[in-house]
Parts: sequence; structure tokens; C-alpha cells
Amino acid sequence: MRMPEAMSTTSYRTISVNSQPYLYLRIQLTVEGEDADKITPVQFKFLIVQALKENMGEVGAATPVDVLKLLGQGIALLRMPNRNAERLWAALTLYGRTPSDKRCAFRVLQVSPFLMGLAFDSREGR
Amino acid sequence: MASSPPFILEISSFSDEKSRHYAKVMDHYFNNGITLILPEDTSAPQSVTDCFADQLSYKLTQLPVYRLLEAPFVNGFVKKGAVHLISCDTKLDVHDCAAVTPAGCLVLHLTKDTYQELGLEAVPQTLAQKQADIYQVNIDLKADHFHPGKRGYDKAMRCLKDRLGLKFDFLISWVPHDSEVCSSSVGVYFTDLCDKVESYELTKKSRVLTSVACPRIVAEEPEGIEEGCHFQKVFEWMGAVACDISLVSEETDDDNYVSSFSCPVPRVNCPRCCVYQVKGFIPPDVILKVLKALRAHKSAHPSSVPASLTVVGFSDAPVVQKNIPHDFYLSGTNVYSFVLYPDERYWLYTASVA
Repeated sequence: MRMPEAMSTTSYRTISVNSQPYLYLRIQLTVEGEDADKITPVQFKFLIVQALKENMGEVGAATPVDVLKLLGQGIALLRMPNRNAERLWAALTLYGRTPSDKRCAFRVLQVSPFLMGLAFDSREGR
Repeated sequence: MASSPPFILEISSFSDEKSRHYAKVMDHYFNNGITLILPEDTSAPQSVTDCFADQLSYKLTQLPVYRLLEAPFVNGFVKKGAVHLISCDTKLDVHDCAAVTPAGCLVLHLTKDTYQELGLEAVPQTLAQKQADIYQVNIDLKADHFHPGKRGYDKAMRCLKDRLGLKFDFLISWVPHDSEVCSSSVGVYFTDLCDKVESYELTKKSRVLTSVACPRIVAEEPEGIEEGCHFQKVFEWMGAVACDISLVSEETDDDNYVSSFSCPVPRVNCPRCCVYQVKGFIPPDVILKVLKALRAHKSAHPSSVPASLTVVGFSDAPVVQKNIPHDFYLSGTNVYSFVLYPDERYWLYTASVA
């Protein structure tokens, strides 16, 4: 995974890493008939766990997903393990109904293996 | 998502003659935002904020691409300074995109339909471009043989003007070769050539964090020892600060339901930390000035936690560094980040992911 590449002088060296442990997502949750600004972080996490449980069962729901920040308008920054990311992403996309039987949707807005990559979104606000 | 292309950390010194910091900044053409993390400061220093003062960028609405081949533009701007031009509101994975690099190369990043209609020759495709049916046409505007009357020029002009009439919204900034010349000339030049020219302002944000938990960093030991944190954890922490994720000094509860994210250990408490962010269209020359000002500031005011400068590129830029093609599969992230130590040493992170 890690390869110390060059040590031409004592002061210069490089380290390169091919895989990242996490994937970070900026996602937006919309729930029919509810104000997205009123969703609390705990409710947000609960809906994510519900989505995982519904699509991937109890084992899938045990995957550690972190809600790093709620930005308003139902937008949140998530962190999830990279090796499970495809299935988690699919589970979020397929989730369409909350436990209180309201229609809802998770939309993935931006993705990056680095949290720094989500600091700016060059596709928004131009 | 199993593997991402390399994430590289370079450890070097600004005083080292082999240091690549100048090339790194100057070859990364299309920059969308910068984040400065300044521990133990309450505001960004005047010398840093001044770097953005005379920076002018413009948004050109619906400019035909053939206007970029015309002799007055090439001779007046491309050959006399550095033109940074990139199409905006275009998505690299599904739309046509265009850019002009400071090296004088017009890059057209085209979908298959447009490419086949256009009739100009593409450069050999990369594997990712083959899979996505993307074709890239490069036209060297600075070439000696590229002027009206020559076959190559006339063909390019005919294809772009008569055959297809490609138009884009562009962002442009021009750094003149002579400091006496004002960079606003480029905005004036395009006034009559496109629908609208408007100034593209930078948005600046500054905030001060108090009592923030910072990772302890040991410059010689990036891979983590007992006294210092691993460089990947440090980069994640920098991302958290840039995204304004709360990092309190107290030990966070490991059983927190919402998030298990916390500052890496070993950590130090920083009483205050200024985060200064600028978003817009920032040419590399300005970033070089910021880096210089930051180095001067940090050598005068050393802090226990090193300061950092992070530059985030446009995720839809057709090229990232020089003429190396950029792809967008999931993210298009292209970021580099300097961590500055008081004794001229630095860590340089480079992350570029399609």
C-alpha cells in the first residue's frame, strides 16, 4: 500500500499511497412535506441506518457511517469506509420511504476520497 | 472505488535547489479555491490578503470558440503573458469543455458526437477517455506555423466557425508579461465579441476557531510515531477544518451515535486558529505570491502547529497539470496542499482523483 519512492538526498523524499480508507460524500436529503432545515443530525443518521438496514440487512446497517456535518437544506457531509462505499451508496439511492411512510430521497451531490476535496464545489453557484 | 490513483506526500525544503514547489504551483493552472489554516493567528496577515487585491477575472457569456484563434487575441494576449481560460457550467463527464492554458494550448474536450461533426484531429485517447467516448483536440496557438493563410490555421478556423459554431461560457484571467499593462485589457477586448462580459469576483471568508484540537505533527516522521500523527490523518484533519467540522479539545465520546470522527492523537490544544478561504478563479501567479507572503509571515511568527495552504482545482478542468488530461469519473478532485514548518521545510500533499 505504501511505497517510499525516492531518497535522493536526506531532505527530499516522497511517499505515495494508492488506496484511501474512506470515501466522503456531500448528500442532500429531501422528505416530502417536511422542512429539510428542521432535520436534526440524529434523525439524519437514523434515516441512513434505516436505508442500510432495508437494503443490506442487519450486517449492512452495522457499517460505520459518520455524519460529519449538517449544512442546512438537508445537505450533509458523510464519511464511509471506501471498501463498502459502492453498496452504501446504492442503499442510499434506493431508499424512498421513511418509517413514517413519507416519500424521501437521498441525492449524492459530490464525492471525494479526501475530505479536503469537499471544501469547495466547483459545480455549484456559478 | 476499490483503489484511487496515488496520493503523494513530498517532504522537502524551500531552500533545497531541487524543491519542486515553484513548478507545482505554476503547472496547476485552473484553481477554484484556496484555504489557509493559520494556527495562533486571529486574522489573515495583510501581506496575504493584499495578494488578491489586483486580481481581475471575467466571465464571458456565449463566446464562440473561433474567437480564440483570431490573430489579435493570440498576438495580444496568448503570446504576451499567461492566459487562463476555462469553460464554466460544463461538466467534464457529459458535456463539451474547452480551456486555454498559459502555455498557449487550446484544449477541446469533446463528446463523440461533437468530435465527429467537428473534423479536427484528436490526440491519442487515454484509457479513461476511450471508455467514456471522449476525444481531446489540442491546438497550439503559439506555434510559428499557426497564423492566417496557413493550412492548419484555416482548417481549424473553418471547422470551429462554419461547421460547428461551438460556443461556451468562459472564465478568463490574464497575467500580462509587463507589470505596466493592466490585466483588465482582456475584459475590454472581449466586450464586443461575446454576449456579455462581467467581472468574476472572488468570495473571501475568514473565521477564527477557538480552543481547537490540532494533531501534533513531527516534520521528520510523516508516517506517525508516538509523538506525531500520520500524514493521512493530518490531511483529513485539515479537510475537517476547511469544511468547518467542529473539533473540540475535549476527548470526544467514542460512542457518539452521529459521528465517530475526532481529531487524531496525539493532539495539542490550539487556543485560536484563523481559517481564511477564497473562492473564485485564481491564477497560479497569485498563489505563488500568497505562498511567499505566508512563508515570510510564518518565519516571523512561528507557531507550534504548522500553517497550511491548500489549493483546490476545478473538478471539470480538462487538464490539471500542463497538458496532462484530467478525467471525471466520480469526483474529479485535484488538490495540493503545503504544510509549512518554521525552518523552510515543507510537506506537499498532492491528490488527484477521477
